[in-house]
Amino acid sequence: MNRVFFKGIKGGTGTTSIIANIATLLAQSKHSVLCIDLDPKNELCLHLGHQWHNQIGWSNKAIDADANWSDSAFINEDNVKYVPFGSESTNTFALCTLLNQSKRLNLEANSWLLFDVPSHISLEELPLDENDLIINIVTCDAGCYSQIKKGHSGSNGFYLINRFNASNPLELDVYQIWRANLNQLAPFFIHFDSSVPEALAAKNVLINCSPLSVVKEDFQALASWLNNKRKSLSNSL
Amino acid sequence: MSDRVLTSPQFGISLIKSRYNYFFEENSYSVFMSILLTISYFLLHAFIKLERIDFNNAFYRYFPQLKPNRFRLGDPLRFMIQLLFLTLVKFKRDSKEVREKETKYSIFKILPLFIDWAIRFDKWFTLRVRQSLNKEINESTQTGFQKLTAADFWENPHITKILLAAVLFLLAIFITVPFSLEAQAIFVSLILFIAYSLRGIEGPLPTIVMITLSVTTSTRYIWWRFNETLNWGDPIALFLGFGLLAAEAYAWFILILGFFQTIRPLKRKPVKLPKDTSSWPTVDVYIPTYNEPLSVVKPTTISALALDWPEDKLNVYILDDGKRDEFKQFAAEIGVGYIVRPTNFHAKAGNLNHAMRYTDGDLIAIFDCDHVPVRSFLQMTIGQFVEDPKMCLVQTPHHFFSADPFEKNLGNFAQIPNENMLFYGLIQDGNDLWDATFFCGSCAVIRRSAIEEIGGFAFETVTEDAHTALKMQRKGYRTAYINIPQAAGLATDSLSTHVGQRIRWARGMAQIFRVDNPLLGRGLSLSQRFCYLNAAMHFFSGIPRIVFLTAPLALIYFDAYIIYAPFLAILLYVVPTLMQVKITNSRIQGKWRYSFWGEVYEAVLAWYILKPTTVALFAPNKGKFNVTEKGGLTDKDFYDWEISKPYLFLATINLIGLIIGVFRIFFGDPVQIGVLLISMAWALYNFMILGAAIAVAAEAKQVRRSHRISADFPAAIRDTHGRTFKVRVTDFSDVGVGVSLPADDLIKIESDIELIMSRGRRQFSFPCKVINARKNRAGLILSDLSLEQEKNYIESTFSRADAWLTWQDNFTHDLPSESFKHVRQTSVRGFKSLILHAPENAKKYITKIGNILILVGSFMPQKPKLGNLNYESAN
Ligand SMILES: Nc1ncnc2c1ncn2[C@@H]1O[C@H](COP(=O)(O)OP(=O)(O)OP(=O)(O)O)[C@@H](O)[C@H]1O
Ligand SMILES: [Mg+2]
Repeated sequence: MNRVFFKGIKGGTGTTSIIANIATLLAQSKHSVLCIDLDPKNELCLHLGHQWHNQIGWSNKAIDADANWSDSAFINEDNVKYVPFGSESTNTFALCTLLNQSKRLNLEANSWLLFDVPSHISLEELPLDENDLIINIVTCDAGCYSQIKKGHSGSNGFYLINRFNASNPLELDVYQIWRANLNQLAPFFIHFDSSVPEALAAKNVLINCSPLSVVKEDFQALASWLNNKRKSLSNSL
Repeated sequence: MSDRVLTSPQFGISLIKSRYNYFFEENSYSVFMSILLTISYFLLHAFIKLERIDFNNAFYRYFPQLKPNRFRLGDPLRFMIQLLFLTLVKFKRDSKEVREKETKYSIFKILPLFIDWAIRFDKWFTLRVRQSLNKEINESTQTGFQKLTAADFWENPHITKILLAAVLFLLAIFITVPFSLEAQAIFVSLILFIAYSLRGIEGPLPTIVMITLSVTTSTRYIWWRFNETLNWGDPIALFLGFGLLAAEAYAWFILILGFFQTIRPLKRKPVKLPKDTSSWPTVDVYIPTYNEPLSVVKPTTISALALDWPEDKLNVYILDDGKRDEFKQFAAEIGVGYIVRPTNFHAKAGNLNHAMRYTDGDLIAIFDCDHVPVRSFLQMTIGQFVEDPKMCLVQTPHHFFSADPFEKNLGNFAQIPNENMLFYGLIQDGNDLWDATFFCGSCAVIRRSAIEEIGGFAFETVTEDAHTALKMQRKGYRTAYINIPQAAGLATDSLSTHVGQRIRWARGMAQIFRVDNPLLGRGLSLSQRFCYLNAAMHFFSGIPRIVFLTAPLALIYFDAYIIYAPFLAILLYVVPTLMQVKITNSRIQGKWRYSFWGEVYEAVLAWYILKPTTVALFAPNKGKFNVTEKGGLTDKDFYDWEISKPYLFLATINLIGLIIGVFRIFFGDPVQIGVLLISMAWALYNFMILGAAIAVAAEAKQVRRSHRISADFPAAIRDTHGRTFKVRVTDFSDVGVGVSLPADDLIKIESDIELIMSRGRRQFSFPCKVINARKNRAGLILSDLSLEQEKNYIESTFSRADAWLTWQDNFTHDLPSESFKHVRQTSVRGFKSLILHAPENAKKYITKIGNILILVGSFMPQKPKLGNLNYESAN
């Protein structure tokens, strides 16, 4: 089982969109994928074609030793399994329990477990182990730049640039600096493409709606990068 | 339409009328013709069911001169002539199967078959012997023959000497012993048989055998000419005969030198640089310019800055002999050095020498201002310098992304190897084996200390580059050639500038021969001297070429027997020797030069390099440096009458000779028919070559100022709404790119979009306007770029490391017969273009004559267009 935590370094960097797309892509290439939304905004399921009036998620279940929150998992047309957040509020303890139980879920070998972590949650407070991948989603702007400069908390993970637009000189500059100084920067980025929000309006993901987009290629790069990371992790074990 | 008319059931007058209308109205024949046709239609119809004949498929293939629905008065006569022709001559279907069958059973397969058997026998025999001796056998086991050839015994100096002596002795016999005609016939057929048989076998050994055979036959030929074919009794014939013999001797000498030069092209590979970049040498890049516009120099400078090399070890300088403020400003803006000098002494060499006083890099890379380097240039070349401290020069090919005047005017850009390719593809690689690489003035790296040792770039001649390398080689420095295009530039774009450039080269080489003769003086090896000799000799081809282009006329015009021998002897010596040499050269050079084109190139230049080379030989200091103009524009088609005068003159006298020849055959002495026919065939060949030269002078217009360079690499676009698409760049120029989109109609014409291209892991976006879009293709034009953007654009297009890598792979190997056909077609085009561009009052007569010729021609029998006829019924 491979747990990957996607977390925006600040709000609105595109974390949820990325999870939805990468999950679909992995599922389409015959991987088993389960996404768990940890964000109370409960947006991930909308990207995956969930019915918007259905508000039930894991937060609506009692988090106890039986892990019956896993009943609230859905599966969509692309074979992506997902657990929506739901409509209740939760606390850190519930989150910790959920994460611990997720390791013991009865899933196929080599399944992907993708978590949508909202930017306000600190991963340091959560029970992660060293095999977990953390991917911080950033955008090339002053906000993210200062976050990282300040010694942003998730420094043990990788950084992935989203919404990259080379026509903006400021973004180019920030990218140059990060490329030179930020060791954990993923060797590719995800382009800005207005088809991403358009896809959400169609309750779908970009890789289904705009197969000709460059961003689809970016997600393919991300997928194979994840695969390689997983292989090198399992080799080191 | 016609089907309906032919088959609809109508009766009586209305039927006749509809027939008439069919001819008169639908096919617009004259009234007379329509009536005639209608009558004959019904007459014919009484006997033959016309609609039963499958006209389109069979009939017109056998009678190509008859056109469907276009009946002409002469057609019955044409029909009869063609029918006669068809019954008399048998035709093979030109289908693939037949050709394959033919090649399968050719007699030239016999020898390869025997060789194959011998190899197999050798293997089998080795196997048996080893088995009987109980020795193991694996992949690397040498066969008996291999053991024999690899034995130490051959290395013994005495043995080699004896062998060499034996070979030379044999050669001497074959060359000097006079044969009877029968013996000569057997001799040449044997040699041609071997040569043609070996043609299809790959590898260096057959090449060497073919070269040996060519050397034998051609030397024998020259020997025979000297000893037996000079007419000592007739002073005119003797004089002319000597002229021809001298030209032939020249050609023979060039041939032998050429074989020597290209016997084993070195094909040197780049040397890897050490890991530690701090040990890499410092490099100055010089970009000399004189009068070229900034738009030409800009891309070169930007690409030079973008070369993959440690930033603190790379300095770029523009050496501006034009002393223009605009350049100074640009240099400051982009951050390169700008060096000017008070005078313009010694042209380019002086410019470089002046700059050397102000810079101090270990190595100097030189780019003519219109040669844009790719980023890997230094990575590919510098390794040689690091590895070998005596290395003074590494040259790379000059590659042109625009069509040279030949390609442009003949319209064959990127279809046949251009004039340059033989030199950069083969000869330089051959030179490299002998450590005699030529310095070509640009796209090269030079060691500073070597230049200093010879006292700066040579300025005594107008080809400072070749002379500089020669001087360094004299000092014992080594040179290298790396045949990987690492820069590209504009070719000269009109025939006159091309000729001007070649005049300069020719003059320069002649000057070198006067002021610093590579045959004399110290420091060169014999092979180096030979390579330089060949290069220089090449430029003296003017007189011999003109001799060849006029020689057959001596007999036709003056009755002078310049080859004083019986008809049969001439046939047995000349033709086989020519064939043998042609197929050998085709084998050696075929990837870089197609047969017969060399003659065309020489014919174009012959007259023009004749004078400067001769003058330079006697007065080496006459002649000044003239800069070749580039990037010019010819906005309409025109014929360059001025430059084509010599070709027109030569073509005319050959044509007149041909006409006289025809008369002499019919009304002259029948004894002469044989030699006359040979002379006429030769004159006809000359006429064809000159026609191709004439075709080159028809300057095609060139409207696009920016040359589109074809390419194929990935990029992306983002449209007005922010949607992205992956695309491939199919061509680019300095002002725009062409892209192919992943689906049709993705972007709208006139819309503003962004083009996204990467260089390594960096990415750039360029604002563009869509200027045309059809289906999945679109043309984008860059909207005003800032200097920074322009820089990025050039880095992600022109200086891509793979930009020019495929240029040599695009051509198939030469096929002499195909190439001959191509030259012939070009020649016909040349004469046609003469008519097109003829002065108005002459045009009328020319078109009249032309029409008459076409009319006469249309009665000639034609080869049926059998093609791939897929059923037999037509017979
Ligand atoms: N590559 C992209 N190109 C263009 N727009 C994008 C891209 N990625 C995401 N977006 C858009 O950015 C907005 C924010 O995306 P998303 O909701 O996925 O971000 P988030 O990080 O999950 O936000 P939050 O922090 O609120 O959870 C959405 O409108 C989304 O469509
Ligand atoms: Mg979100």
